[in-house]
Amino acid sequence: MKAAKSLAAILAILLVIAIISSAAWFLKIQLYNPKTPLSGFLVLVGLLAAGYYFMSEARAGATFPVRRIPAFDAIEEAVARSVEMGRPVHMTFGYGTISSSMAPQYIAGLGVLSHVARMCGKYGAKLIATLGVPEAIATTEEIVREGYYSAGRPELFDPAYNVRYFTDQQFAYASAVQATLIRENVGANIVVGPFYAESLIFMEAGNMVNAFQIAGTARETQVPFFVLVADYSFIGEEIFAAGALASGDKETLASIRGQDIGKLLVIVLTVIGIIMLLGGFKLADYLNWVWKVG
Amino acid sequence: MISWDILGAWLSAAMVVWIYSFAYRDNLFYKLAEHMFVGAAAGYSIALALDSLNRVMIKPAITTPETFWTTSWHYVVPAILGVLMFAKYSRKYYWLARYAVAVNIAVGTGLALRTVPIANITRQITATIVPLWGSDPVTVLNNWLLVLITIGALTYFLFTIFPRRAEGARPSPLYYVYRTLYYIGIYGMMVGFGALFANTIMTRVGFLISIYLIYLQPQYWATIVAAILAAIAILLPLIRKK
Repeated sequence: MKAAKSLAAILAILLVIAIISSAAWFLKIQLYNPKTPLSGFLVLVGLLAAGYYFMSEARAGATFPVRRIPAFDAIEEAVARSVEMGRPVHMTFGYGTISSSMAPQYIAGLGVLSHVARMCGKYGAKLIATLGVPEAIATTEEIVREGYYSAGRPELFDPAYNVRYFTDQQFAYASAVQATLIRENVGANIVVGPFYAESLIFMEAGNMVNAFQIAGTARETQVPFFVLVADYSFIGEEIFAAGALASGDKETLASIRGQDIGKLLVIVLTVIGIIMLLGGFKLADYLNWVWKVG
Repeated sequence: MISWDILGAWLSAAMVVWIYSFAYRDNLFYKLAEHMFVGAAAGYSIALALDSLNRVMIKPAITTPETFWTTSWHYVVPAILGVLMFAKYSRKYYWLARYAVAVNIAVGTGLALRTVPIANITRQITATIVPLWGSDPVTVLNNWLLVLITIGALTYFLFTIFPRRAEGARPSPLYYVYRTLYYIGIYGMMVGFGALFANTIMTRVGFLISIYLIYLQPQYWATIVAAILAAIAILLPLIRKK
């Protein structure tokens, strides 16, 4: 029954794609960039189908254990240490916006915030979430409120103290965040999200007050700074896994299995492509094949 | 004769020194520079947003309503979503802001999803399919490193699919392959991060030199005065404490 449902869903998706493609062909509408290889589209559809399949499996009761991520496990320690020292916990998400291609990283950062807020509620820690993205203020406030309320500590929630928006100009935001780190004498500095050149500024400011630092981004140019300065760091895609772990939601965790299938696909196709080179076949030519529609 | 140019140059030099003074300690002049910077940036953003809204929607809707409602009517949708953001100030209707945030996030995710399959998957595979044999040893070594580090890094990022080691049992050969690739991935990434770090530091040093040449050197008196003021602002609280 379960397999039949999944198959029906996949067939429905393929049917919708076929209808849209046929309509575009009849109406001579160009659906996508004619220079884009078809393989990209197939990969996208395949990954979405894999994600959907594993999420429906999780809904039916299957579990997909995720390997340990030390930086994620360290969040509780960071919050507990801050409470012992009587200092607040700070969290920020970087300069990347929520309405650009950086959105997935920002969402992962917000996922980690929900975990941090719950921990702060559990241990009675003060949390300061600083922002440089105005669109995220409402969501951040809601997440922090939810964290304190779910831990049974609503009295600790004060939006004016807990959530601080500065400006959407990169270095003005950076200068305000570094000043907050020093003036509030934070005990833990947790930075997860899409970071740009401000990453090292935050890390150095956290270091000046000897804060316990946990940092992560999927922007590879900024990862070196986090790896170097932070006590624990999320490297690249680990922030997405951390976001899913933080949510504690079975379906979100199952979506990681879908992502893993994508990575396995890359490994397998690379190995097959190299073996095919022995016989003089170039897999790259097939992957770069362009199907001109419309 | 004091001109606006000279005043601007003095202010720039002073701001640079005061912002840098934070590297040693928080002080009054850093606070002044920080608040001016944040205030000016916030004001600039608001002015820019209002100007954009006026140019794109309000002005055309008032001056040329027929053209606007036939060609640019869709601008009304983000405007409504923008207004919904203000619902967060109402205890009763704060949930309406979620719709605006949800659309924002969905647009961002869609933008990210559009490029990922081609840039991060197809192009990655085609770039990694290289011959692991040949007459030039340097190219062969390079290709081996490329393939092993790419596959190793991908193995490191497998979160749910990996061979587990049962307690007390001898690990399977697959487990050893996994661990080897895992470590190749980690060390490969660390080498890459090192190169990236050095590159970025070089760029930052370049910025520092250009800031010195553009802002500090031409107005060296401003630089000296600002540095003295920052030093006083740092030392005074320390002396008072003693």
